[in-house]
Amino acid sequence: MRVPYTWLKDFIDLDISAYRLAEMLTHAGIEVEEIKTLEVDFSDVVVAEVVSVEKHPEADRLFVVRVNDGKETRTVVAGIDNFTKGDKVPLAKPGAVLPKNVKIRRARLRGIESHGMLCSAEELGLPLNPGVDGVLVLDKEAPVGVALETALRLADPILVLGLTPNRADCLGLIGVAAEVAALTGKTVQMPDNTLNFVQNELPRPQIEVQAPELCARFAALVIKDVQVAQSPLWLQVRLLQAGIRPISNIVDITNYVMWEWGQPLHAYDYHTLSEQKIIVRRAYPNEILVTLDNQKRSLSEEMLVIADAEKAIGLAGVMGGLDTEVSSETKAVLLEAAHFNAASIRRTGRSFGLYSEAQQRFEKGVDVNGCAEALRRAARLIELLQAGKVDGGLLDEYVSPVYPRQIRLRPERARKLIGLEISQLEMANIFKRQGFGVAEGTQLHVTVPTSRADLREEVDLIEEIARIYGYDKIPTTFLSGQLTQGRLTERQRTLSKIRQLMVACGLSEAICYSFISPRQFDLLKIPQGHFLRHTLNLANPLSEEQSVMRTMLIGGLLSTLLYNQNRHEHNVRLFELGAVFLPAADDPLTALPDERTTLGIAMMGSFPTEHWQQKAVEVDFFTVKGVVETLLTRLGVKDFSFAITELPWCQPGQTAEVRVGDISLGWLGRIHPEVLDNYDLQQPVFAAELDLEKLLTKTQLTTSYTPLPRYPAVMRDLAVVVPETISAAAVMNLIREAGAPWVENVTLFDQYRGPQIPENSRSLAFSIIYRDPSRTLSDDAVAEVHQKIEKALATHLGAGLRG
Amino acid sequence: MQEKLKAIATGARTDISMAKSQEELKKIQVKYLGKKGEITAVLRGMGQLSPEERPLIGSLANKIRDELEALFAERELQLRKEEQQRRIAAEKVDITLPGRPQELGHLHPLTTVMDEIAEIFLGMGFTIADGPEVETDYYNFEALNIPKDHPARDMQDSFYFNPEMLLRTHTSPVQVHTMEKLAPQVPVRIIAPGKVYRRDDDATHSPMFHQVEGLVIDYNVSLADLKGTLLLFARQMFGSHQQVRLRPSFFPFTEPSAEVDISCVMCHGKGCKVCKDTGWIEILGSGMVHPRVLEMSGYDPELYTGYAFGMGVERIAMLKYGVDDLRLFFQNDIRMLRQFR
Repeated sequence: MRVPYTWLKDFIDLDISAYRLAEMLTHAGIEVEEIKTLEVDFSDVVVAEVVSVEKHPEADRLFVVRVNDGKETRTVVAGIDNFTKGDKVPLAKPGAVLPKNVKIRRARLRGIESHGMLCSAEELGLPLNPGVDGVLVLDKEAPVGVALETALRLADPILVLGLTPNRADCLGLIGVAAEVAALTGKTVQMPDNTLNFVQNELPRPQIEVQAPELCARFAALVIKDVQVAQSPLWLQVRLLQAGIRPISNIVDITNYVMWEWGQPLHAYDYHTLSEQKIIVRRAYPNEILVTLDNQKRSLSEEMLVIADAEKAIGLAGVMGGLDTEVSSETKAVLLEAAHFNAASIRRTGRSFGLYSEAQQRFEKGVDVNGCAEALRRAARLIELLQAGKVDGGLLDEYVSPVYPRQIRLRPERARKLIGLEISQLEMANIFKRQGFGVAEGTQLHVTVPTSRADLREEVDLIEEIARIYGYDKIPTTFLSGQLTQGRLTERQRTLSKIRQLMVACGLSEAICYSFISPRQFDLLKIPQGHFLRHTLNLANPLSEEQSVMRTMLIGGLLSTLLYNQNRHEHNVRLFELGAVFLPAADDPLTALPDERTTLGIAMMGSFPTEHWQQKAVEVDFFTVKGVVETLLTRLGVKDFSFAITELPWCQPGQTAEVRVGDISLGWLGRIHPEVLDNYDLQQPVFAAELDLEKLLTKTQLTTSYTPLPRYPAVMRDLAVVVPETISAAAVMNLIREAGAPWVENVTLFDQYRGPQIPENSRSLAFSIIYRDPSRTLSDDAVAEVHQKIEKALATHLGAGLRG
Repeated sequence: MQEKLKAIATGARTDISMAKSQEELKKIQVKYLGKKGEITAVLRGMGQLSPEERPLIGSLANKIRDELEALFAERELQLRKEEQQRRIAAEKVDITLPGRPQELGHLHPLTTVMDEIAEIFLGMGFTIADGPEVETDYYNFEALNIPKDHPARDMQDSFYFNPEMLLRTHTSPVQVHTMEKLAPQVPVRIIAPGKVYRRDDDATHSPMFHQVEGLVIDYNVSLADLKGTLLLFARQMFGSHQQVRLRPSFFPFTEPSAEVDISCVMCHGKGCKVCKDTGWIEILGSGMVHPRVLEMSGYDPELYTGYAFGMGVERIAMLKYGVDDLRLFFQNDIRMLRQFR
């Protein structure tokens, strides 16, 4: 809402600056977003009075005009003479600059020197007097010699309010004035809307509200002897300040009054109304209406229309119809001030993508009791500006009257809720200053005018007290009452620890959007019908790129690697901890999805960074596996294992399922080269994804201490040659099994394939630590166990010793 | 004999002092005091001496041996020290050469900020609650006193899956979940950090961003308490000089409602570009929980009052770190992430 400051002062006597007022309003919750002025794109243009107009002796189409610029009388040559002696006109003096950087110079035109230029509105870049050609003739009162922007009040401050949706009352200047009155203690002066009704000449229109649930009131006045013309410039400028383009007097006045009262008005050409009937009804299915913007609109039964005896003539509260528009031919008008259902207006407007000033007001709530007052004000202005005369009295179908509310306020409750010692008297005064009725006893009974629909119950009045009294005067206290323990839950601590472990492993945290492009599944080679393709889809996405909820994290991480690759960052290790969204299996449309907190890992390049002492090593399968192993170990997950598997987006042979017992926690592996090509990634990428909802059931953060060994350990190496089909894990498991309970630890320290090793076999070298917790193991005992292991390996795995 | 012994001793003293290394010294020691050494030979040959000479020569030889042993020990220590000095000199490095990097990763700045916010409120006795990112219309709107067609729905343009299911537009639904779970127990003191979504994408809006919600319900909770809590928070987060300013505002689920400004972290209230010369920066919305919201979720508004607040994490991170573009948070440029310790 734009509040032209001078206009506001019509209603309240203020001696403070616009800046100070803005500050007061902002502190009271009517936020002033900025203070601006109309944009003036010219300089050195003053008001001049026409002294004489003569034809140019040498040119048919030119005129020689003598004007008084306040200091002297000068001669200018003009191309038009839409003015006469005594008129006030804008004079651009030599040296003046007009919009589009037009510079005015002294010039000789057909032998006569022109000392400046008389300007049209267009030349000044002002959307005034639309449709009128020629020099912009100013109002008679314009002071000669004064800068044009001052004379037209173009430089007056405009307060731009950022209103919260509850304060529809401030969508009119009178409402703003009431707010200012409460803050300053001044009184609101209502604009003149006195009206003498006369006997009607024209047939009285009939008003019929057929949809009372959508129209609480429909009031109207008939104006006869209408003379459509330009509005006076002061009025046009005020509309410009409000952000509305002037059109012609009748329409301008409806807008002007809307700005004052917050009540939208509409003017119909009276003679275009079939049978002079006004019917407020729901539209017929597929009924057609051509609106003011010349759009043919197909309506539905949820929409409210204003109709005459034959057809719809306007979309109620949203936009008028073209057929009944006021034009230069109009001789009489029907002025409408009505009250329509906010939700209905909102839906209708949305369905057509319309958002008119009138519509905004109806949506946010207009005071139903303001209709008649606003109509009278419009009629009064029409008479004052000699644009027409009132014909007959007010027509008013007030279907559902609304009365001022009386609300009980318990002063003690207010004090407690605000935390402020404030007297009952002071509370009462805050309401009285705004013109509310207050009955005082042990409690206050406050009568709230219907314009303040936001004040509905006691707590609203309490806010009103705090607001007007000033939030800055409220004391600062701290919570009292029972002490509470602030602590993270086990789950929260574990998630936090996972992040810390990832950072310790050298990974950096990424946060990707939760919505992805459905194309991502193609890039990842995920076949049609795969469960990961069953996504939750946004009905109104911003773009296809962000239209479905992610079911896995890896896609976003690959895109992030690409983003970094494109910025010449080739060594990147990332993780993300966030939700994936799996639609409810049984009822995907209405049941909430399964949101599973998931850990994603992706890395490419070499680490550590090149150093003078050591070479960087390229990441590989075992880098990502090491990270996963470290994570699981540090989270106290017992008995996890890795099983070879295949996934569409991973390279076969370098893909593993991460398991704990029968439960699959996720996967890790090398991203398939085709997927890398799809993403345009140039280096191998290794990745993992773990379902933390499952993982969290297997973690054990608290440690129980195992006493340190009291007897020494014995270490023996063992190198065996095994067929390639035997996994390292199988060999290690068998060593543990066969050597139980003396084998404390088995470490693989070498893998070898080469000349001395048979084909399709490899040599694996382990170092085994033997220990008996209850005594020192003898060499003989160790030898015995070691041999047992060798035998078991030979028997069960066909392993041969490597000498 | 005596002369011979003295000559040996003199030779030994010279040899010891001339020894260049521990090995050389060892050889000298063997030469004189070893099993076949010169002094040892003298002592062995004692039998051939006359009984008169024997004690004299014996005592002299022992004296010399003791003396030489002491000299050997002394010289050895000396040589060891010299050797150590040489080694130390040889091991000198250019200490300005770069150290071997321990490459740790980096937490996302938004995580760090959320952790810090959580830490401050945990210290005040709050616990952390969470809720789903996909919500029903009821939890996101209805239960927060935002009925259908309420103009406040325009404040938060939503991503819908269907008319009843949407991405939460704020963390406030967690208030409702928490109240439903705990009612009518008090005190309730929770914060709820998390992702939220709004249909906006430009330089100052991201369709996904983060909020931290706060909710307190108890007997006698007041607007003054809210002010106090937020002042404490602002000072912990941005420094002890911080001031807090509450401005009346409107949220359907709080009444009275307030926007909260803190003194500008860039200019400390003097006025600059960041605060648009006001000296204040808006960081959160807050208010007293609306009686209808309390009632819908099982708290009798006549008995209990409460306050709630919601802050934008990105906004706080931008202020705290001087990040000037919201989009940086979701690009995950490693060069940006690396800056956060």
